[in-house]
Amino acid sequence: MQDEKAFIAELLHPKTQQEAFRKLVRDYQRPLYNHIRNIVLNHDDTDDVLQNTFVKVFQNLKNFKGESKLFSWIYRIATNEAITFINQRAKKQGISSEEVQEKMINSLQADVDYDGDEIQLKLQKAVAMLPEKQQLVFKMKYFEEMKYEDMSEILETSVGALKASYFHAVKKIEDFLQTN
Amino acid sequence: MSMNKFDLHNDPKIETGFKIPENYFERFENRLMQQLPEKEVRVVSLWKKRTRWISAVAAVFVLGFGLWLFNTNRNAETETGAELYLAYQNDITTEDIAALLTDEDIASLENDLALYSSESETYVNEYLEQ
Repeated sequence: MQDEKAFIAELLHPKTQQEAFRKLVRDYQRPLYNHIRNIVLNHDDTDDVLQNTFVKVFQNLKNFKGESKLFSWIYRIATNEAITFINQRAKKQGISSEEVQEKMINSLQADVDYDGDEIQLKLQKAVAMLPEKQQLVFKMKYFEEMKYEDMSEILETSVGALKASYFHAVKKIEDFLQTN
Repeated sequence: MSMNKFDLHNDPKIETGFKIPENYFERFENRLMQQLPEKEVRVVSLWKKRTRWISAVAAVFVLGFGLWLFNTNRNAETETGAELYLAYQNDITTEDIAALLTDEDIASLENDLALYSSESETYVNEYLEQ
């Protein structure tokens, strides 16, 4: 925690800011990329959202109160950016965010940056059918292998509620895979 | 993995199937660092910051104009009164007034105005660069 405080101080000081921020980008770009990609699915869109996320982090560092860990604060920004991206696309196209997701899943097969096999694609379809919160919980737990305690901080939901969400998600996905 | 019963926890993990272009992260880091503003950009509304100052100046003007009008009304024969009379006489055009001024007067007026506008522009530019 002391280390984090010192790192945040470096991020805020004009002299050390650039170098500290570069370190932050280096540490977070891969896990955040995976997190965002799991939500928006397509590489180019992930790239856009990832950039926006880091720019937002940079711009809002001075407002970071240290009430939560830097890790969860950054993940929360990334999650919000990714969900906002889908909602904005839905608004632009005049369809629901569920329909946007359905479209994204359908275009996966033709995507040059996707080489999932049949079962991998089927799993993506199964996940997309879940309610938004369950999708998020499933992706963070199953694909990203995140701890419930960390998810709890990011999503501001109790560990118990997250476990219940994950349990329901897994059950529905297994049923879907069985019958499709 | 059993053929007819899926068990996500005991079956081998099903990966996402997403591919990431080669060297994407190396490029991303540099691309992003170039995008960041050099220093923090402060967005302060020009109007908000100057409100108090503008209000003070406006108050002085209103007070000044009021006093001037008061004095003028009391004595229409004064020079101020004559000026006011000229200012509110619509049938006296700018050209009429200009005809009464010498070329030197006009040149001096233009000079003053030009100086004023260039000065105020410099001021605004300096402010915007802050």
